[in-house]
Amino acid sequence: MVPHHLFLMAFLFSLSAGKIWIGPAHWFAAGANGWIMAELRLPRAILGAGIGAALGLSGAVLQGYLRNPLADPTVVGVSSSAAFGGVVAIFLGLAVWPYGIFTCAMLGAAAAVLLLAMLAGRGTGPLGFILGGMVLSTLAGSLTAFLISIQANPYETSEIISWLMGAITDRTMDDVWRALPFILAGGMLLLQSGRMLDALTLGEAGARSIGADLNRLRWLVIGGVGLCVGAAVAVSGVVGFVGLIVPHLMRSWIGERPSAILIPSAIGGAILTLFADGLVRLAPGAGEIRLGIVMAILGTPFFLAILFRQRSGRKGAFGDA
Amino acid sequence: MLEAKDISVKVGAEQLLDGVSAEFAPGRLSVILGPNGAGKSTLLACLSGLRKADGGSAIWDGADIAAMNAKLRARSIGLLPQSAAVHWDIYARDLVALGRYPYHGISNKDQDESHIEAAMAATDCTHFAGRHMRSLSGGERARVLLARVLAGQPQWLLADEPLAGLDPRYQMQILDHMRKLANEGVGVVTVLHDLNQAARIADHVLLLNKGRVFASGLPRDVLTKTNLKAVYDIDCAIFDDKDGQMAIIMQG
Repeated sequence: MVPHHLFLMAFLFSLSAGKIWIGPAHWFAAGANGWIMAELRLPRAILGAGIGAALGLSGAVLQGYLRNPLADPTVVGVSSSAAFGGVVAIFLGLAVWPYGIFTCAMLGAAAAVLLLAMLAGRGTGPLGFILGGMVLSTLAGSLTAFLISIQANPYETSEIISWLMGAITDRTMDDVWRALPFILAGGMLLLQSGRMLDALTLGEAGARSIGADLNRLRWLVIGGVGLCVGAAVAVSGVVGFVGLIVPHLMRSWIGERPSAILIPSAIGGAILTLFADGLVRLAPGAGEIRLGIVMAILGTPFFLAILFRQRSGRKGAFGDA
Repeated sequence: MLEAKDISVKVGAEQLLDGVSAEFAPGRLSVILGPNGAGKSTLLACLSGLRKADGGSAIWDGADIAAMNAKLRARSIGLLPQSAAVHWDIYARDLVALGRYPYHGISNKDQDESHIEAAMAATDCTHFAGRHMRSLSGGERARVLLARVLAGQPQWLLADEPLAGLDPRYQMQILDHMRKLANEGVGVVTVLHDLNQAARIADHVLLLNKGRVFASGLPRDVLTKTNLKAVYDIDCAIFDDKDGQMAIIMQG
């Protein structure tokens, strides 16, 4: 089965699945089913596809850039900084404003991108980038924990924790129009990085010796990940593992050439997120499990299985052949 | 002509290169020798344009290499870096294809394919084009890495310790490829540690010590007992074998 068939299946599953299963015959019907489809399921499916694609693509680019298969968007601090921005919005009561959480989360991502660019400095390469990201991630995580700890209102504490777990429940087309342009713009930047990521297979000296512009690559990565991950977190909270697992999976199917896995990772991320978000709605009981939790529950054993298979097989975890 | 003109490089208090001047001619195989820390790799980095000298400059046909457009430079000067690490387990052919990177947009697919095939044939690695890099032996990998440089049709090949980690048979193979390239008109400049290989293969030897040029010239003129004692602090016997090939035996 080719990826776009699988994507179509995942999208249709996401449209149909829920406490009420709505088959394609009833999607355009008048009444409750039609309303659920247009107002709830469709925006949710579009967001699921967009967020998954953004996270999968960002993970593939970061792994190629840092030449490390364990890198993902959380490593460079953009996720946690955007999450901190969203938490600030809830903390300050801005969540009631339709653009409140989104704007603050994007500002958090933008601040992360700027700080990352400054910390990584000129010509310090992936090491400076990853060190800067770790500093940012730790700082944003600590500040988020600080805000939670001083929040006096238990309802708002619960709201913050719930938002941090990640979900695309009750999102509307307004959320789609807010997030999608940033995701598309970020995706366009990241997709330009493919050939330079291939060049980095030779190491930094090797890449520069064949004319790869590593400064341009750094800006593409910072800008693209900032836009993609910032918008994804802003609209859904923190959804982990997609950016880590999907490129791994694509690499084992398609091969390890960094540029070859970019688009498949975007499609794979969309498929995984759509299926996972469909599953959270099928959980028994009145409520839903948070998408971030399902992703972690599904992702951890899956990732461990990949690692065990790699350890027992020919390949090591790192490509330092 | 590729020239180092009074090149100085300083990192902190460490003077890596101190007023190094040298000329390298096309069609000639030049070997840079010297003990660890002599500045060999730093000089090669300056000549390849990857490192800007603090003083002086590297010049190719009258142009400052460090100021050249990166892709134009890459099309003219092929660098085989010291590290043979390949960070993803890609196919050998995909790695060789990276040699065509600087031609993106100015070369069509057929031309690229033709140069990739030719480079792989020249280094005798066509038969493992479809194998993953990690499955190759050290010698096979070294040939693929050399093919990657050749696919870019450089006028200059700069190689930094290309024999590191290779057994004598593969060392001979790589050096023979370099000899062939030089005979075809490519300017080859390589850093080596093996004095006998240098004596066997070089047209010209540049002996560095403590960031300065200690001696430069024909192997027989540079690789003398006195020079080797002064630079490496080793005693050695130098003689010609029955084929008239210079041989250096290090003594305790």
